[in-house]
Amino acid sequence: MPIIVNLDVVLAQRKMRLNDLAEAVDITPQNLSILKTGKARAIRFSTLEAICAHLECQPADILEFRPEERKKGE
Amino acid sequence: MNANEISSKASPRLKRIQKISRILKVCVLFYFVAPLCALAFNLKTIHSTSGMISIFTHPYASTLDIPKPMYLLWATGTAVYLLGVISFYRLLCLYEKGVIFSGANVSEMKKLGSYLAGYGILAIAANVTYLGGFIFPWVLLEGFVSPWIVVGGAIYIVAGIMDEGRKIQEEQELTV
Repeated sequence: MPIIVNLDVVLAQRKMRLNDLAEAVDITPQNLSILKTGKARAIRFSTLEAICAHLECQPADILEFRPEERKKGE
Repeated sequence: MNANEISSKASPRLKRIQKISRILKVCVLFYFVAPLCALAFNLKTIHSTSGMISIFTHPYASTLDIPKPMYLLWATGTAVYLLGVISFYRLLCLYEKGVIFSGANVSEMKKLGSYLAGYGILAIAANVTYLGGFIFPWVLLEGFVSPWIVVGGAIYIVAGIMDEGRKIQEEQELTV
């Protein structure tokens, strides 16, 4: 999958734990873990908005497009 | 327990499904394993009524009148029918295990649909053999209304839709 989720990096920069973020944005830690580990197939705008609002960042800080990952996936 | 299995503790509905599956499995076994029932199956396919022998619902006065291709069609038809029953039995086994919406279920349902439709095609072939030639409009009409093909095709399509639904559900489960 060429879309990379950098949630762990942003969380580390903010020195925040996944459980705290999950509680703050009202998402289960399991679902947030799916997002963090890159297993998620899709992300709702509402979820992205809540994460960005809480972490005070842009969607681009969390999501990254790497074309080489697409080639590997194919 | 794999990812596709549903815990029976979690759902009393699943217990009902498992109970029904168990009963149906016993019925299927009784129908095919017991010798008398095996005989009943043979009588269903080739049964003698008032001195006549019937294959695929076509009556013959004696075994000498039955053309050789008809024997082949009967044997193939019986094999296909049995394979269909085996698929149905496997499907029941999966339900009993608590596997309801997995790829294995879809595969067995597709097989079941294919076997039923295949039996319908063989029935049409038997009609053609019985009539001694290909009477185009009649055979076409028979093929169109053949319940085996219609039911088999419907099961196959439903299995395909179920597969798509399963994939959609999987994707939704991974939507955060």
